[in-house]
Amino acid sequence: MQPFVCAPTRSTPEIRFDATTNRHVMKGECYPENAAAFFGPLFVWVKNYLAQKPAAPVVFDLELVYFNSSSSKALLDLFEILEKAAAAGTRITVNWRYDKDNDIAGECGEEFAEDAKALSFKLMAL
Amino acid sequence: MTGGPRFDNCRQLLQEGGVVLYFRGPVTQEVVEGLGSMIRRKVDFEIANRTRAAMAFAVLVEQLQNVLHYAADAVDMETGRMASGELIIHQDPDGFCLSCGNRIRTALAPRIRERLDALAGLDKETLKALYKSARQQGPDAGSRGAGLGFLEMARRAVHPLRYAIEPIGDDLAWFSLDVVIA
Repeated sequence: MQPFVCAPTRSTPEIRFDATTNRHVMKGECYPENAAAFFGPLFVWVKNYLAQKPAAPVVFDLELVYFNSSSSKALLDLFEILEKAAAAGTRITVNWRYDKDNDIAGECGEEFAEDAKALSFKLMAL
Repeated sequence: MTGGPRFDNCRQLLQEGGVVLYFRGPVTQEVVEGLGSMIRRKVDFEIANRTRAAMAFAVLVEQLQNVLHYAADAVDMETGRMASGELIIHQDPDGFCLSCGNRIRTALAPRIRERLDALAGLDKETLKALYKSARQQGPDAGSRGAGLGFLEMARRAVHPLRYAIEPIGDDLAWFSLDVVIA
């Protein structure tokens, strides 16, 4: 399976999701004009990847400086996909990496962490 | 003076109003990025607080992306969307006020009123709970984003959001929204 790669722009993050290493990185700003269009292909990739039931632990390193409200919805959708796979037995960790001096970034992470069940959602202040 | 003497009155009014930025014209995603980066740096420089800078940035992005999504004259081009809007950032006794306005179709007015009136007077905890449940539920059919923009701004604001909808003609109205951040 080819990795899912996106170069960063001023309003979209750098993305490298890699099925070979099972480590997936998303880093940067996230406020595209159309979040549904931006995240659509990513969701397709993630669903195909998880359908293969990766045996090794799966890690998502997310480090978003800012995301707008429609990206927030898209992230929730992503976590719901991960939650479902985790409940079905795939070991998945999300590392939510955020600026310790930005209370909003931490708060946003907490709001996602509150809803995580089978998914291991870790808040990491930087 | 810049632009010749015919703009002097206008300039004086902006100065008296403590205006940090006045923008009126076509909004594109690039404008959102540029003005967003500007306000983040400005707040970061003046009060050296990254949370405050993030709040200002978040409100500016939501305001201008609402213009892009909902302004009556919005057009989709191959290079992205474009719509006319107005943004005034001015000093407020409690911080900064980010005031944004654009033309809307009159048909959109009841929906905007309903959404904003529902948020009036809610405390931060209630707004958080509403935000989470609206995010879970997903947007309604009329929404071009996640339908969370007003809630997001209300959460970042120090005062309840203030808005006005003034009719321009049968089919058009001017919608403006003031968001005060600390």
